[in-house]
Amino acid sequence: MLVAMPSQQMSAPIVYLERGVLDQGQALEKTSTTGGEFLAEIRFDKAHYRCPNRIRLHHQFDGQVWHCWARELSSVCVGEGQTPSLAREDWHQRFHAEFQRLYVKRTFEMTPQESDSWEAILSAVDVVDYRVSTPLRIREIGCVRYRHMPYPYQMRWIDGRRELFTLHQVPAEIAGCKPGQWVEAIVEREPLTGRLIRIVHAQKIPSPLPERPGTLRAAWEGMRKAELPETEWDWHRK
Amino acid sequence: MVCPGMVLGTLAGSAPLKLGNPPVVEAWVEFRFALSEEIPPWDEALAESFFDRAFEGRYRLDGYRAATEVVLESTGGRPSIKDAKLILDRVRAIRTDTEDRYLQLGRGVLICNLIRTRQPWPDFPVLRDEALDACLKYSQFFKPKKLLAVAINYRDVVTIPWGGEGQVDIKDYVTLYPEVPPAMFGRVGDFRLSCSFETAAKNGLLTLSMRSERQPVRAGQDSFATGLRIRMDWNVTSTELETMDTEVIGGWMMEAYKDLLRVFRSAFTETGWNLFAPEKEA
Repeated sequence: MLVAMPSQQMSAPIVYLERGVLDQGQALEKTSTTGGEFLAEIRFDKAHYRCPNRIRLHHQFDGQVWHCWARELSSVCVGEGQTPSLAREDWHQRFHAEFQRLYVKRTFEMTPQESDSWEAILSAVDVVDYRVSTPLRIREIGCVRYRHMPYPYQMRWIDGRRELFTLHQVPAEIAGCKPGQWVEAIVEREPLTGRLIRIVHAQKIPSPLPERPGTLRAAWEGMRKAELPETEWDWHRK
Repeated sequence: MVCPGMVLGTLAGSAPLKLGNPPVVEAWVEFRFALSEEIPPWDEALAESFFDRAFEGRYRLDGYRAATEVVLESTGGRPSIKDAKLILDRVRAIRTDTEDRYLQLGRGVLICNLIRTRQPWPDFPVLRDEALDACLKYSQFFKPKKLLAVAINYRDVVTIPWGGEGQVDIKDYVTLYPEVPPAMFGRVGDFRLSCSFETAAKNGLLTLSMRSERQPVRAGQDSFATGLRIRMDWNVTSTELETMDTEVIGGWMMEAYKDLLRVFRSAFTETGWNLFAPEKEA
């Protein structure tokens, strides 16, 4: 029997598992640890990449190392490792890095190869879902307020916005702040509504605003006058 | 399937042989048990307590496979999820020191997997002894009524180099292949073949599933496709041992393995066999 080299190695396998008395392929896939593994979501740390059509991870040993790859994303990344689990971990890291690298690029900034990779990602991963479900992380400056509560419950941001929070949403540093303490915070917000999810990190800072009205004017007026050298601007004929 | 350093002696019909480039990528032994009715509900905590008690930290949970049962109800003509629960099928644990061995545990199922790494591939008795040890621990923990089935599985991946015109005549390498008349169908792109054989192992059935296998192609690296890869899954199963005596089970496994070796050697022509770099021993 002559077997021809497929012109496109990445095309879908032509033969799928068929059901039959003799065929134990389906059973073998379930008992092998290196067989296909379906993913409905690629998770890496806090990033979740949803795959509407599940992708299948394959593991292959080439005599030296294990490779981990998905047919839909084989042009994006192939993981390598001494064991299938290390190859899978490597694949996750490579995919995450490649996704994040291409995610911030505009289409016209991409090379043809990057463009192909991004198209493969778009066909396998719901990028819109990623965009609307991944929290925004912003650096903000605000003032901790107590009002009538015995612990902090409100933040007045430097632009005047006031936002309520519970102590579950903030780090311990904020719980220990005195009223009126200014902090520089890294804040996670919902991407669509901008609602506060939590404050990830906060650091106390001195007040960035003048303490009393008039202090700023006094500071301005009290500033030393600059003594610049005087020059004359003369016109000269050519 | 054959490990480096393993002697094939009488199988080759001449001098003993060792393989320098064995095609095996994974081997596993599977046990299925009939459980008694007293066992606690099957869940992850039960699996974890089995691994903790039987293997004392040598294996850690690595993953699980489960189905989700969803109860829908119709409210105002629209379906909504009333209840959803996870039904655990199987738990997988990886050996912590070497990371080349897995144990899979399900309700009435125990599977011992060994995967290929750069380390020398251990001889079959190593896998057999580890599997029997795990089987013994399973029976002490779960106290099954009897053994329903035992199976030995080997997965080989053979890479056949492409010929001059990007094609290969598979007949030159293997003795088992699907016969597809080229005049009617042209050249074959992918294939899959399954056959069962009688085996010398008592009450056993030997099955070979053979298929062409695709490989990853990295962007801009066409040369990654080095040849036609054929995956061969070998399976010998017995459903009639019906004993928990590990000596009987181990004896059957050895018998089955020897027969597997015989069929394995017969599946390749001399050219195919030479792909595995057989070395003649002095």
